[in-house]
Parts: sequence; C-alpha cells; structure tokens
Amino acid sequence: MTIVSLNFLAFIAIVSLIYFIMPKKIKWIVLLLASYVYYFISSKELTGYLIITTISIYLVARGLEKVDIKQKIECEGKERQLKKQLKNKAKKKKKLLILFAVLVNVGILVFLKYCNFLSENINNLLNLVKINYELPFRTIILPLGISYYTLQAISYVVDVYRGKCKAEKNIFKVALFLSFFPQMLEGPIGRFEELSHQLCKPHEFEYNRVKFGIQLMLWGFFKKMVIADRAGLYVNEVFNNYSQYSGIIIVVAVILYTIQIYADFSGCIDIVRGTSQIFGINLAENFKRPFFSKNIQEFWRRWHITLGAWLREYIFYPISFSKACMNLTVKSKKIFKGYIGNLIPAAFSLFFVWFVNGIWHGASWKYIFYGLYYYILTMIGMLFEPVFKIIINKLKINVNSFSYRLWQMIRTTIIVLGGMLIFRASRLKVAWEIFKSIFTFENIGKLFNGDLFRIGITSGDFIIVVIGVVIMFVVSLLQEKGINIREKISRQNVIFRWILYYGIIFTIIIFGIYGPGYDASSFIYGQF
Amino acid sequence: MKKIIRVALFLLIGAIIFWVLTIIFVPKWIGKIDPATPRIKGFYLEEKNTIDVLAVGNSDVGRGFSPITLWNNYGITSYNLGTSNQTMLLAYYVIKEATEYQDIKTVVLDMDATFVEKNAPEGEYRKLFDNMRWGKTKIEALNETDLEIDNKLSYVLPLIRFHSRWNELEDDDFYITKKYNKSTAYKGMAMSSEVKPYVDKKEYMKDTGEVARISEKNQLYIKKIVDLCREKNIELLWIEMPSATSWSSARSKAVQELAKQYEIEFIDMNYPIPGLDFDWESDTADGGNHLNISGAEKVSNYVGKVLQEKYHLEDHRQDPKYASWYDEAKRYEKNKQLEQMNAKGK
Repeated sequence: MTIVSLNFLAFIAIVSLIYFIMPKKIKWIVLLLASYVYYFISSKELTGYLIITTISIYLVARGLEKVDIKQKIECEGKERQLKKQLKNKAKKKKKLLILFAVLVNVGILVFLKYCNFLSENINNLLNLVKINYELPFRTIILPLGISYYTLQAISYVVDVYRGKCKAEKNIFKVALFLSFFPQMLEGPIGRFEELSHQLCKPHEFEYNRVKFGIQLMLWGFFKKMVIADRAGLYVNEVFNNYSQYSGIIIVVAVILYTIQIYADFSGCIDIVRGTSQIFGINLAENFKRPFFSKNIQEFWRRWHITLGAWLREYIFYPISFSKACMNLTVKSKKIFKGYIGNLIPAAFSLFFVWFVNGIWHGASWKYIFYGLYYYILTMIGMLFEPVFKIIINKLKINVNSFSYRLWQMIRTTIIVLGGMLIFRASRLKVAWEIFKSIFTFENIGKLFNGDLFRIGITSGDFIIVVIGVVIMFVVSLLQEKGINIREKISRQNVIFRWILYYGIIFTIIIFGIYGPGYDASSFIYGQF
Repeated sequence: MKKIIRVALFLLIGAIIFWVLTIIFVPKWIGKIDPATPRIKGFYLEEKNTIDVLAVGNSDVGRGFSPITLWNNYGITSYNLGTSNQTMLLAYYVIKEATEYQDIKTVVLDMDATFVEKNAPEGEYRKLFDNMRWGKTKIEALNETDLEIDNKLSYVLPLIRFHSRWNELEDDDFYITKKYNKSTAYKGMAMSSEVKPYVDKKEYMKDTGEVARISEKNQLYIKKIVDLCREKNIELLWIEMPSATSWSSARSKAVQELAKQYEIEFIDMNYPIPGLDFDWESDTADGGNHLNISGAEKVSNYVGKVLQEKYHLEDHRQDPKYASWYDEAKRYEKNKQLEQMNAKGK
C-alpha cells in the first residue's frame, strides 16, 4: 500500500475515524494497531524483523537505565575514588549494551540490504587474487522502511545511553515509535524524545488541525503526482536509453530528475506530515527550500534534514569525540598548525559521515561515490576557503549583494545536479558515460525544434511541469520569507479558499500521473 | 453544526464538479463504424414501451441489423443494441437492461458470440458500461465481469480512468447536455456503405462432420438469456448473420443442437435461404466479416418478414404515436444516399 493510492486514503479515513471515536486512553493503541496492520499488509512475515528491533532496543534501553540506577545506588555515600571506579564499571557495561543493540540492528540491516553487495565485491576480490571460490547471492526482500526505522532505533538507545531521554517502560510505546505507519516508507527519521510523547498523547478531533493536515497532504499529492511523476516520464526514457541521447537532452534530463526527486521526496514527506497532523502529531521537517542554499553544507541542512541531523548526532559527534580523533587533532595541530591543523580531524570525521550517507541510500558503489562526491567537494570548499576569502577581498565583491547570493545558489544547484546524475544512473560506469555525453553542442537545436517533446512526454506535459515548478518556487519563496501559507489562506474569504481547494484537488485528479493511462489506439474498434 | 454543513456543502459541490468533468472526459464513441455512445444513450431516449423488437449480439448485429428497414417494410419498431465484441455475458445484461425500459416482445439474438471464450477487450467494456445508466443491472453486470477491483472502481468513477485525456479533448467532449439519438447511429445501427467482396470463395459452410464446442460459461449465459426471456414473456429468435470469416458449419450445428434443446427458432443466414438474395460480392463491407448497408437491408428485410409472419408483431405505421419514426427513416435514407455517394467517389 503506497502512500499515493486510493487504498492509503481509505486506510487513513478508517483509522482516523476509529482514532477520534475511541476513548482517550486507548487512542495510541489504535495508532499502534493501525501501524502494524499497515506494516503487515506490506511486509507480511518480514514484520518479524521490526519486532526483533523493537524488542532489542526496548531491552537494551531498560538495561541501560538499570545500570544507571544501580550505579547511583552503589555510589551513595562512597568515596570519590570508589565512585569513579563504579562509574567506569557502569560505563563499560553501558558500552557493551549499546554495542549489542547497534550490532543486532545494524547487523540485520547489513545482512538484508548489503549482503549481496558484499558478496559481489568479495567475489571480485577473490577472482582478482585467483582464488576459485564464490560467495552465493541470496534473493532477499527488504522489510518496509528498514533503513529508516533502524536509524530511529539506534538514535533511541544512544539517546538513552547519553541520558537525553528516559527508557520507555512500555514496550508497545517503543513499538509505536518505530512503526508509526505514515513515516514508514520515506521517513522523516524521528527522535524518541520529540515523537513518542506526541504519539501517545490523546488528540481529539480539531477542525482546523485536520483541515491543515489535509491541505498539506494535497500539496504533497500535487508535487508528487503532477510534477514528479510527469517529469519522471522524460527522465526514465533518457536514463533507461542513455546511449541514444547526449548533450542538451541529458542536461534537461538531469534538471528534470532533480525536480522529480525533490517534488517526489518532499511531496511524500508532505503527505506523511499532513497525515500525521490529522492525528495531532507534528513530524520533523525534512526539507526547507534546499535550492536556496548558498553552499553544499547548507544544502544538506535543508535537504533530507532528519538524515543529516542523524548523521551529525550519531556518526560525526561520536567519531569527533573519539579517542582516535582526539589524538589525530593533537598530532595534526602539532605538524600543520593553523587552519590545516584544524581541518584534518574534521576531514577524518566527515569522511565517515559522507560514506554512511552514501551507502545508506543503497547497496551500490554509485551510492558510495555519491556520498564521497559531496565529501570531496566539501573538503575542497573547506581547504580553499581562505583562498576564496582573499580573492573576494581583492576583487571587493559584496558578499551580501543579491547577485553574489544568486551565484552561490546557482553554484550549489550545479553541484547538486552532478550528484543527482550519479544518483539516477544505473551504475557508476553509466554515470560517467552519461556525464561525458553531455559535452556536445550538436543537438542544442532540439531545445527549440520540438524534438524534446517526443521523449516520453508531450509539450503539454512540459508546460505542466514548468507551471508546477513555478508554483513550487513561489510557495518556497513565500515560505523563505517566513510567510505561513496555510495560515494566510485560512484568512482569505470563503469563495477564494474554496476555488483554491477545488483547483488543487481537480488539478491532481486530472493532471496527476496515475492509473493505466488512456491510449485511444488500445480502444479502437477490434473488428469483431 | 455549522462546520458539518460547510463540509457537506464542500463535498456536494466537489461531487458536482467531478460529475461534470466525468461527462467531459469519458470518450464519446460517435464514429460511424462503432457509434456506441449514440447507440446506447439513444436507447434510453426512446419513448417508453415503443420498441417491440430488440436486436442483440456483437458487431455483426451492430452493422447488419437495420431497424429502419423493419419499419419501412413491416412497420415493426426495433432497436439495435449489438455492440462490438459483445459476449454472451454482456448480451444477457444488455437484454436485462433493455427490458427495464421497454416492453420488448421479441429479442433477436445473434449467436456469433457463442464461440467467443476470451473476455472482451477493456475498450468494449468501457463503451458499453460508460454509456449505460446506473442501476441494479449495471452493478450486477460489473460484479459478474472478471475485472480487478481497482478497475471496477474506475467504472464507478470513470474520471480516474480517463483523466489523462486532458490533452486530446475535442469540442464534442464539452457538449455535456448533448443528446446522442440523432447521430451516427440509426436506432442503434451502424451504417457502412463500403463494398469489399468476400474473395476467398471457399465453402466455409461445407459440412465437415464436426460440431463445435460451446464453453460452459457461454452455455450458462445462453441459458440465462432463455430463462430471462421466458420469465418476461419475451419471444426469442436466434439468428446468425452472414459472416464468412468467423462462421462454420461446425458452429452452426452446435447452435442448431442447442436451439432444438431449448425449442427456439434459429435462422442461419450463412446457408442459402430463398428470398434472402444475399450476395458476397456486393453485401459485405470488409471482405466477409461485416455487412454493409445493402447486406444489412437484405438480412433485415428477411428477418422482418419472419417476425411479421411467425411472431405476429404489430404494424405501427398508421399509429400517430410513432410519427417520429418517419423522421428517423428520412434521416436514414438521406445519410444512406450520402454514404453511398461518398463510397462511389472513393
């Protein structure tokens, strides 16, 4: 049951109806049951993996809490030296527990998602050293949302370990935190202390909140079905038959893919957040107008925000504050001094951040390279920052001017386009082939002679994509200026509002890409 | 309370917009070869209880049964609800639906579909169901067809099936109040004036000693048709239009056996019949599969004669209640001449 389906809408309608008529005490149980029904429909027996993760993190979190309590009791009235010893002992225990939780959950993820990728690479290596042995490949079906809920699971136990949140006593509340159905498919990646109390708190029906939730869902459907899926028709044609295309056709495909993935991902997140809002749950924002970013770092603070935040909290910080990195900092400062000396430990930690970012997206070298692409560009930016500053000063460039900010946004977007090319290509080698084929000006005329409209989509479709992108841009611009659009709309008169609502609903129904499509030729008279 | 009324009003207006858009987006089948829209919608516009004979079957009937010929020659009022690829299942529901609007005295059923085992293509379902009125019969028919649940929903809400027609809408699509009775169908008949002789000349009705097999599903729906007609006191006449490319003696024998079993008259016009005067040189539009106007008029004249003589159908030509039939006959004649002139011009 994908979130862009009539089944999903029917499911939400039924669940919300039950949720609002149930007594306060059991409202969260309705959400838990609905989430498990949703999960079971999609994943059947694979639900077992979700249950294993739930039980494991519940027990580890409870264990961590027990170690803390035990250590506090033992420390009472003890001498300072003894207290320190007990603390260290407790810390070791906690580390073992957290290691267990991480190993179990990352282990499941690695086994299911990366097993074949690892086998393939080990086989290649064995082949290279001429060892006649091959690891077998397995047909593995991934449980729904495993990449998302595993990160949530790890964040929960680490937060308990760090004392940022308390261990939940009720295992079913932990189960709801991991399985909440709207966010199962594409996130956002939630944090226990922000999400759990919202999930478990009873929310009564509130007209305006439900209305705002539905509005956000509609906006998401518009982005996903009208813009993303339409752009995808062109993108699929070009990337699936890349050897037939070059130059401007590829450039348009990469731009359209970037539009597609943004409208698709942010659209789905809007549907997810809108659905949650119906139940009174505010999920974290995952996108904040990323194409207004002035540099890559900012882009990743605005794009898939919850993944970036997770990587910062649970990869960057632990590595930066690890003993190895501390030693590296000391050594590099001794050897290089100044700017470079500070840069090296950051480069060390950031490598892991981008590596994990890349591989999290999928089991393929292209995803690893996708992460490293951003890593290399980030490092180049950081390395030459002083040089850029000197140039800016020498040329007396006003960095606060609109033109400079525009240049920064365009530069960031071009870098992002490069990343998207890698992301969309079927393999790394293919990405390189496609990239090389861009550099030809022979077919630039196709931009004007109508040939562009024979590649998967028509001129009408192109116009719709362009109008859709303009609407998205205007909305983003208003949001960037701090205007709450839904609030603003709610203050308009009823006729304007209703026209707007009907407009978006029927735009989705008519211009959305769904169903088998209408092909008059398949309907022509069959001569029977 | 105020909010409930507001939401209800919002949904009501939304439903009306949806309904209007549905009318616009559903394809209009008004082509002269297969005028499904005026044929089916036109049927509902016929004055209640004025149609005595209903012709049902696939495109062989749609193009080969001429109600105007029956009117001109015998004063019999009939309607042609033969739709392309009409299976026995669909024929059953077409008859059932028709009897809810007209007091049908005789059903003329073409037996060509007896041997069609596969389902009709989606387009044929759509042509029939999208033009059929909502009611018990349509719901029952949709339930009986082996369409997937998502697909069935698209018959309830056709806009979700045809929304992608936005870039090919034509003026005809926006005439949302247009009545389709005066269009490319003549009391349901599709008129084609092309002449393409059957040149194969092989004796497709030569007795091979074989008897064709009728599937259980088709047997079931033929039985249902027989039972329905008997229940409603409707006479049933089985015919087989001349169709050199789809008929055979084995098929004819199988239907004859079934006709004997049910005690129903079966006229197979693929055999030489005195007075029919059918000619494969001049009476087929596409080399032996479908009839043209000439063939349709010959066949209809013969069937009309049988209906008058054996089924005692009333001649309404002197009844002022049926005056509009003369207008339709004039329109038919005028367009027939135009069609024939065009065909000669080609």
